[in-house]
Amino acid sequence: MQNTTISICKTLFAIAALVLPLTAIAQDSGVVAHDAWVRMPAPSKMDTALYLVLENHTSAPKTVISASSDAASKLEMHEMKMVKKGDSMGSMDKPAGDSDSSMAMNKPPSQPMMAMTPVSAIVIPANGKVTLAPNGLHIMMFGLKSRPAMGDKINITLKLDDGSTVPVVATVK
Amino acid sequence: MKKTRSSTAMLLLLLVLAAGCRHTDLPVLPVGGNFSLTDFNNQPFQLSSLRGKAVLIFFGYTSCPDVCPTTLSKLSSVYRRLGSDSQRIKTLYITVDPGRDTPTVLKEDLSSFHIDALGLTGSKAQIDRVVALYGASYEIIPLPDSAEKYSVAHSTTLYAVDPQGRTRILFPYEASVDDIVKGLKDILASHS
Repeated sequence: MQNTTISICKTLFAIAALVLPLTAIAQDSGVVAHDAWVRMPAPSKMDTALYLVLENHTSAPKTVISASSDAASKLEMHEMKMVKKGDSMGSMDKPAGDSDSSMAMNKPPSQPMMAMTPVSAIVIPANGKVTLAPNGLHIMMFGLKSRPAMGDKINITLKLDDGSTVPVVATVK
Repeated sequence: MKKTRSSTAMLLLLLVLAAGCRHTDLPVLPVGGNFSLTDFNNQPFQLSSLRGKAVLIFFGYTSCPDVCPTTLSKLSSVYRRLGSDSQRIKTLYITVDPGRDTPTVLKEDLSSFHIDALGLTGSKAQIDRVVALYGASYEIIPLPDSAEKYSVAHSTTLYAVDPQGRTRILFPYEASVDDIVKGLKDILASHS
């Protein structure tokens, strides 16, 4: 009887030794988020931008492939970059000013523009970090479910390419 | 005797005029000019109505998540730093997204910034004319897979116009609060 009990315990211990590390790996992405903040949305808008720092404490690059939050309908990764007129594909509109040929003759050269464009992934280098900040990478939060107040905390979850997730707590500023 | 009195009077007049002139190094820039749009109270607006005030002009749109609120926040700091001089500064926020930026939306969203700002909109042709006048740029970028549907790429220059309606400074997006405060003080000093 005692031998049977010991055998059962050993078996259970062996199973636990196999399963528990796998659980830990699934939960621990090796990526830490900090200094996360969300811009207070404009009075007429229920959309805003999330900024944060992501640090990768592993020896392999990690890639953020999506983001989600119970506080908003849809999150998308975007970046701001300088573009020249005509760089964007399939522009719906003719360039501004071209409709008036008399103005076009004397107008100064068009200035470069800042454009917001979607990105499909954000790579965090091995043992490195990436900063999402104004004028660069950011995560758009569309369709906020309620209007936040200054100082509120919003929970966001980032999903990585290896299936792990990174919890984020952002402060409304 | 008569000739001496005339010469003296002329000299005195020239000295008075010279004393009244304010020296400024700010050139008059070859961009800008008067224009007509509709303000966020749905009233016709002309730049010339602001003669006597320095004017800051910025092209943007209220769904802009980054550049525009950053600029407007910066201007809030500029107004605060200028103190009583801020009453001589008017900011004009010209939308390049008239489809979404109705007068009501412009008024509502600009109210969250502590600046004396007027939102301006109009037909596409009217806005395009002003954009061309100031050498600015914008372009609609379709985003069919995004909740945004489209974004608007736009130039980020902040134009400073003097009380006579002439463009004197083009502040780049990177201009600091200090840069803008100094530039505006120079403009105001040359017209006080």
